[in-house]
Amino acid sequence: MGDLFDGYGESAHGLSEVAFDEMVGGGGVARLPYAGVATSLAQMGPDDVSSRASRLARAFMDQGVTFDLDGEERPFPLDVVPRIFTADEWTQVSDGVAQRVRALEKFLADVYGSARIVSDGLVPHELVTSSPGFVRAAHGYTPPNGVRIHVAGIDVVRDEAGEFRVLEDNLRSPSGVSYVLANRAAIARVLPELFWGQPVQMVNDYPARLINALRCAAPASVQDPTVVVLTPGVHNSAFYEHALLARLMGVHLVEGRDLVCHGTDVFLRTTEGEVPVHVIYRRVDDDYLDPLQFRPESLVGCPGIVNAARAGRVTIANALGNGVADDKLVYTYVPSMIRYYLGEDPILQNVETMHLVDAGIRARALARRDELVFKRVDGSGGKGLVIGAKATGRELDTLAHEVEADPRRWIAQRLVALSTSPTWVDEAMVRRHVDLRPFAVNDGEDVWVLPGGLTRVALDEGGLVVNSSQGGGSKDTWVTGGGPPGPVLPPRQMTAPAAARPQDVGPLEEEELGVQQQQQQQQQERLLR
Amino acid sequence: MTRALLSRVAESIFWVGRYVERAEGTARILDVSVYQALEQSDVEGSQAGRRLLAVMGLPDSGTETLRQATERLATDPKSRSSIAGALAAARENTRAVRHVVPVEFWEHINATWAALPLQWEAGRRAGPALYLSFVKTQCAGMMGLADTMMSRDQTWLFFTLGRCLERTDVVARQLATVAFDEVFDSGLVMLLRSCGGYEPYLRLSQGVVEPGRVLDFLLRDRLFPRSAFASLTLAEDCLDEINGGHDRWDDARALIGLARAELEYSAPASLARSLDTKLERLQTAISSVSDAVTGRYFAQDLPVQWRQGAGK
Repeated sequence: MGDLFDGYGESAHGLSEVAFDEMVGGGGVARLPYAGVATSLAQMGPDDVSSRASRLARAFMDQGVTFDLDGEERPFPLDVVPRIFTADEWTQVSDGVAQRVRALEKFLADVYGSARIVSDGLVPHELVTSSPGFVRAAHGYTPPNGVRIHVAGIDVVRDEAGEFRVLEDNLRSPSGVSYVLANRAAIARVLPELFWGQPVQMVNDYPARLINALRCAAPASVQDPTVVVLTPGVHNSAFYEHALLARLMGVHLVEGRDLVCHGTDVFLRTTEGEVPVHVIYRRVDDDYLDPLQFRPESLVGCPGIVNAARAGRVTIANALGNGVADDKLVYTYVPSMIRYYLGEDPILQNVETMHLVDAGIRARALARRDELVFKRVDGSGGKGLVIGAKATGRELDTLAHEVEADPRRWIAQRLVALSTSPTWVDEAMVRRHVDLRPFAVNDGEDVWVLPGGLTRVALDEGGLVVNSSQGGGSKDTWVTGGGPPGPVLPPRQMTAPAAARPQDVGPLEEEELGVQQQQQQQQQERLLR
Repeated sequence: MTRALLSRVAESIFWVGRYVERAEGTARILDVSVYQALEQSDVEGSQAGRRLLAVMGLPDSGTETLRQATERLATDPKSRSSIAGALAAARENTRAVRHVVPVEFWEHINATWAALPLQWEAGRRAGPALYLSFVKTQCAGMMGLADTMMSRDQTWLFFTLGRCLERTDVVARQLATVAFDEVFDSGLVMLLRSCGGYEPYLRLSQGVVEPGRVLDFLLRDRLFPRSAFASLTLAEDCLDEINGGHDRWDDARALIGLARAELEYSAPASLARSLDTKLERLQTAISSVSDAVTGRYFAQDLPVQWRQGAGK
C-alpha cells in the first residue's frame, strides 16, 4: 500500500493491539471497502495528505465549524481518512438502531402511562422512579402523534471480534449530526478523489427528514405549524449545530427570551408582533426548560411552556422526561424490552454491564475497579466516566467512595477495546480508537436512520474517550453501495436543442476589432508614406 | 412561514450592517489620511492623527501621532470604532444569526475577521495600505454577497437600514471636522477621497473643486450612493418596506423623512451658512432614528426572572 501506511500495523500498543481494525484485516491487507480509499491516499503520498489535512482544518475554521469549550470557540478536527461501512454492515446497525428506538418509544409511553412493564415484573418500580431522568410532569401526557423520541443518537462500538454493540442510548437532545453534514461537504471538496469509483450513500437528507418529523409532531388542530429550534444561546457548546439545523430547515432559531407564554399558548417575539409557535425542537435540557416547573433560576427557558405542552397547544421535541429511558441502568433492560414490547430478538447486543445496587455484585465490581469502566447513569459527554485501567489509585478510591454512597447512580462495564481506524496524526498514519453515533429520526410512521452517522476518534494514542470536549476528532462516515440511489434529476438531453440561442455578446467582436486595427494601421502607413 | 424576523435577530442584522459599513468607512478615512500625511511630509502627523480621533468621536490624549492614531483605529479590539473592533462585533452578531444569512456571507465575514491580525502584521512591513485595502475589498465582498444572495426580506432590509444610517453618520462626522470657510483645495480632495467620492465628483463638476459644490455633492447628490441624501432615501425605502403597507405611524420613518427633507429643500447658501447646526441636527436625527427603530422593532423585555412565591 505504499509508504503512507508503512508501520501502520505496529502503531498500536497495549489494549489497542487486541482491537479490531476497521481497515486492515488478517494478513495486513486492506478490507475491500477500504481498498479504493487506501490506494488513493497512498498515491497522494505523505506531503499531499498533509497539505489536504491543513486545507480541511482551514476550511473548518473559515466556516466556523466549531464547538465551544469553556467559553472559547474551538474547531472540531476532521480526519482525512473516512470510516467506511459496507451496505450489509450498515443494514445491521440501522435495523438494530431502529428496533431499539421503537422499543424505547413503547417503554416511555408505558412508564408515563399504565406502567405495564413494572406490573409484569420486568423492570423494578424503584428503578423507574429513582431515575434522575424521570419527570413527574410528563406523567399522563400523550404526544400528538405518539412520538417522544423525535431524534435519537444510539452510540455503537465495535468490540474486539468486530461485533457491533450498543454503548449507550441518547434520547434527550443528542448532538453531533451537524458534523456529519459538515464533514461530508468538506471531504467532498478537499479530497474528491477518494469518492471516485464507489457510490457513497448521501447524508444531506437529514434536515428534510427532521423538519418533516417535527411538522408531523404538531398539535392535531394546526394545519401549517410554525416550528422553531430552541437554543440556550451562542455560548452553548453545540450552537453551531443549532444554527445549522435552523438554517437547513428554514425555521427560526430562538432563545428562551424570544418566547413568551400567554395562558397555554406560546408566541415568538418578532418585528411584526407576537407570532404563535406550535413545535419547539429544543436543545435545552429538561431542567432548564421552564423555570415554573424546574430550576427557577433558569434564564434559558421560557416560563409556562411545559404547561402549554401538557395542554396540547405546543409540542416539545424531544419530549420531556426521555431521560428515564436513556438512564444507563435502564439501558441494561433494553434487550428485554425489545423482546417484551416487540416480540423480537435484539439485533444489536449491549456491552456487558453490572448493576451496583446489589451489595454482592457491587463488592465484586469494586474489587476489579482497576479493570472495569464506571459510568454515572445520567452522565454524557464523557462526564462521570472512570476508566479503571487509566485511573490513579486515588481516583479509584474516590470512585469506590462515591459508588458506595449512591450505588443507584453508577454502573460498571467491561472495558471494550474500541475498534481502531487509520488516522492522520502528527504527519503519520496511525491506529486510533473510534466509536459511532448513528442518528435516528422518528416521524411517527417510520424510524429513519441517517446512513453513516458520526464517527468520533480519540486522537491520543491508546485513548478511549472520543468526546470533542476531551480531545476527540471526527471522521466522515460512509456507507458504500446498496441503499437507495441519490435523487435523480429529470433526464437531460446531452446535446443542446437545435433552437438554442447563442449567448449575447457586447460590441467589438474580435474580427471587427481586427478590421478596425487594420484600418488604423493603414491610416498610419498612408501618413508615413 | 411568516416573513417576520425575531426581534433579537433583526437587531443583530441591523448592527451587522452598521459595523461592516463602519469598518469600510474607517478604512477609507485611514487610507486617505495616512497617504496625505506622507505627501505633506507631516512626519509627526499629530494634526492628522488628532483629526482622525475627532472624526470618530474618540478621546484624544493630545500627543497621539498619526501612526498611533492609525494603529488604534485599525486594530484596537476593544473599541467598536476601530476596524478590528467593528469587524469583531459584526462577526459576533452574524454568528448569532448565521442561520438567516447566506452561508457565503457568514464565511466571508468569519474568514475576514480571522485574517485581520496577519494582515496587520504584513502591513507593518509593507505599510498600512495593504491592511486597509484588504479591509475595503472584504467589506465590498460582504456588501456584494448581501446584495446578490439575500432575498429582499426583513433580513436584507434591516441590514441595509443599518448600512444607510451608518453611512450617513460617517459622512456627517467627516464634514463636521472640516472648517469650510478656510479649507484648501487639498483638504476638499482629501474629504472627497475619504468619502469614496472624488472621481464621481470630478466628472460631475468638470474638474472644479470648490467648497459649496463639494458640500452639495456629499450631502445631497441624488446619484452618488454615499451621499447623505441617497443613504437617507434608501433608509426610508427600507423602513416603508419593513412597515409593510400598514399605514401605522412610524417615528423612525418620520425622523428620517424630516432629516432628508431638510437637506433636500435647504437653499445652497443657507446650507453652507448654517452647516454646523445642520450637521448637528443630522447626527442627532441618526441616533434618534436608531433609538426609534430599536424601540419599535427590537425592544424586548428582559428575560423573565421567576421567583417562586415572590410578590403578587
